[in-house]
Amino acid sequence: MNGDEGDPGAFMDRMILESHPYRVLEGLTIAAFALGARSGVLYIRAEYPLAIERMRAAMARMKTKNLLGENILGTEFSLDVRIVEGGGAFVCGEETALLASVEGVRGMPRVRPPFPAERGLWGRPTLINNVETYACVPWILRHGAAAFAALGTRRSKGMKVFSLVGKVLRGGLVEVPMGTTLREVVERIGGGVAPGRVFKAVQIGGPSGGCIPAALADTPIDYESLAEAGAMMGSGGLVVLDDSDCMVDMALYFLRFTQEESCGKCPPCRIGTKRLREILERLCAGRGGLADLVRLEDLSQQVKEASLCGLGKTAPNPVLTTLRYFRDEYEAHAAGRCPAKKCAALVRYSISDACMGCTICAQRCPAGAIEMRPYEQHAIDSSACVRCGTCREVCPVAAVHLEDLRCP
Amino acid sequence: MPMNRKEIITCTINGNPVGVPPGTTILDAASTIGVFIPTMCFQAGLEPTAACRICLVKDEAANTFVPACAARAEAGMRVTTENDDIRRVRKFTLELLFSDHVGDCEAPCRLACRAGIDIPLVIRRMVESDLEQAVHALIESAGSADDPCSTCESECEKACRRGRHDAPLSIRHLMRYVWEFGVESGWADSVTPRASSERGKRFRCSMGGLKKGELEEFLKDASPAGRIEPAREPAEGYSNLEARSEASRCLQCDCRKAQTCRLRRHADGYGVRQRAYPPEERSRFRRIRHHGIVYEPEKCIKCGLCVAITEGKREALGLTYIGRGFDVEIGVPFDGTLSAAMATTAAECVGACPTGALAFGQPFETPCSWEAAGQRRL
Ligand code: SF4
Ligand code: SF4
Ligand code: SF4
Ligand code: SF4
Ligand code: SF4
Ligand code: SF4
Repeated sequence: MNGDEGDPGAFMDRMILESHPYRVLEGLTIAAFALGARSGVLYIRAEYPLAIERMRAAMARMKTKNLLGENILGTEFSLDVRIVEGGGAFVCGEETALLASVEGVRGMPRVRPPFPAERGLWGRPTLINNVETYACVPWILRHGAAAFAALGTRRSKGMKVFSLVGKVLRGGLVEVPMGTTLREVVERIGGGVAPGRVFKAVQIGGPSGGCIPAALADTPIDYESLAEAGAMMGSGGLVVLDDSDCMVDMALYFLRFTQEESCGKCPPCRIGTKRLREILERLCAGRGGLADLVRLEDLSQQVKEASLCGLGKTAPNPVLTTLRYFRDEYEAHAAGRCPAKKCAALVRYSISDACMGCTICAQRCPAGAIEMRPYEQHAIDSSACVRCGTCREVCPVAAVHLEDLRCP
Repeated sequence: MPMNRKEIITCTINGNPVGVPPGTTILDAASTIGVFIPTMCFQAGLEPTAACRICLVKDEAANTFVPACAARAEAGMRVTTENDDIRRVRKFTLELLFSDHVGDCEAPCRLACRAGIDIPLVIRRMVESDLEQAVHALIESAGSADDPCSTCESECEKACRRGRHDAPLSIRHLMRYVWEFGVESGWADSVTPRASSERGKRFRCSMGGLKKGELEEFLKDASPAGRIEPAREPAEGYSNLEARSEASRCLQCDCRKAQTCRLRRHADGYGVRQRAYPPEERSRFRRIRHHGIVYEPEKCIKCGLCVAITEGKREALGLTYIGRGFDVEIGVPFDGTLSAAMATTAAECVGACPTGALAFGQPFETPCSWEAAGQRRL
């Protein structure tokens, strides 16, 4: 079982493992019975100690009740399940890397085919599935496949758990039938964005997924529609973005993540994501140009094509989708402007004549960028300012503004 | 999948039908009909890793790129091994590799030499005390049996990297010493100069300007002595001892594998531009040596062959990957030495390494032709 949930902001598997350990173990046991497998491995990332503890306790209880172990319920069927703790590498969520990690070698993906079903753990045929998949199995057996298939859309069946985070009023884990639109999830379930803010986009599928703009919010959540929009379901991370979020910065955030988590085996991913990251960093720092947009596109396409495993093949998705839907923001960055006023190097804080000289900002500024001048209008030394935003938050008369560095 | 020994899988490669037993890789299937597919991280007898991506071919039936070294031929596959699209992807991978590759295929002195003499190779042979080979290297690379140095302004010395430290090598004296030796010993007559079309047209990776600390990397293994001038009449040139001492000042700026490097050969074949994807900052060149083995990590493409070899041959220490992602490196565990890591497999690893990352440096000096043939002057 693949419980190496590594996407930033995703904790669906964790919730299931911690809250419904028996459901997962039951699903796994049924799968083993169907295949005639005699041993099962729960691969859970070590960062989930509570999940591991609860799974251990559940396994121990099932053993005492003869629901696991030798001759389960007096039948011929025996199943030995053990837990392997993951060492914290994102790439070990890739199934062949996960299997390597269980074998005790370096977690690097290998080429498929042969798929694990043919040659998996220790060279033996192996069934490997995600936590959520196994957790669905008992329900399906109890209610029948038809009942499960009745949920969802024609091609994407069943339910899907999402981890709804970001700029929504009510974040958390939500389970919806496939085919629900993004708008329903964001607005009806999540309660929409904060008052005064504008819903801008969702990043769906974590670092391998893509960005879908608010204009396409009526896209139903199913595998095909998401793929069409350039995103993917992935593990089910759903980050809501509003107008204070910068799309270039967001692409950089996810790319930095995959770049750091690349295993380093193949050059397109190892070096390509690094070069992509450098270009994005250049743009966010105001040192980029329009030619960088072309470079980004070209590199992204080729990294997708040439990488060995899913990590590299999907790493450029956030870049490609934001480029596709928010090209104007990239162009603005190339000209040295961040429209969302998010990229620290492209904005500055300034104090207007609304300032009443209360000195609070000067007292609180961690960088000493504001000189204390009681009862006078204060001013910010932009070269010393670290763009923390504290002054704006503490100013009682809202005299501190964010503005473009280049063209105020 | 039941394996029937008599079963034969039929697919097409570049339009030609090929029948192979199940389990045969595309690479092997292609070789049965004489189709060559380039590889770097593949070596027969080792498990293919599909890491380097240079062997990508296209399965037209599935419209996907697959690594020929690892992917097995399947019934119904329609494989194309070379077209513009495939060349583009291979070139892309190579250009990315070069964006993270630091080294000079050819030394600055040689690039400056109007005759194209492989100066560092000639000097290496001198240091190895193999004067006969030095003569060969000189005449072959110069492409002529006439001494070009006698009428030259020593452009090589102006470019010599050692000049940034103390003083350039006295290349002109050294080359003239070898010329004369060749003529006097008669060895010069047995050498065929290489046709000029073979020279100078190859892809050349260059480090560009040196970074801080890089000159020191080069200096690590060279003689610290200052430049030696011929003690006798300058026209008479170096004595044997002087020539040898001066030669050992050379920093060996070129790449030890310049002729055999597969990365360079592919770069030639795919028209690679070294700086197609310029890095924000290039890495710092390092040269690690131990008992004749030279390891230059910035030339390593992380193909994993050396790791697989030391592992397969049960080296007690062996080589391993260290770190991950962009920062991954091949290294010796527990800060061991190179020769300890490859106690029994050094030759195999160096031979397998597709680039100049692992190479043999100067072997231990052995008294040979230098003294034996050098009755010249002492
Ligand atoms: S794509 Fe990235 S993570 Fe996957 S094998 Fe290549 S380097 Fe490793
Ligand atoms: S943004 Fe932060 S560092 Fe800059 S002036 Fe305001 S408080 Fe000081
Ligand atoms: S390793 Fe190959 S490409 Fe690199 S410097 Fe040496 S010969 Fe040139
Ligand atoms: S002196 Fe000789 S080696 Fe130097 S540049 Fe001239 S011809 Fe070449
Ligand atoms: S140090 Fe040796 S290899 Fe380097 S430039 Fe000078 S003569 Fe050539
Ligand atoms: S040192 Fe050579 S053989 Fe070893 S991984 Fe690097 S390129 Fe491959």
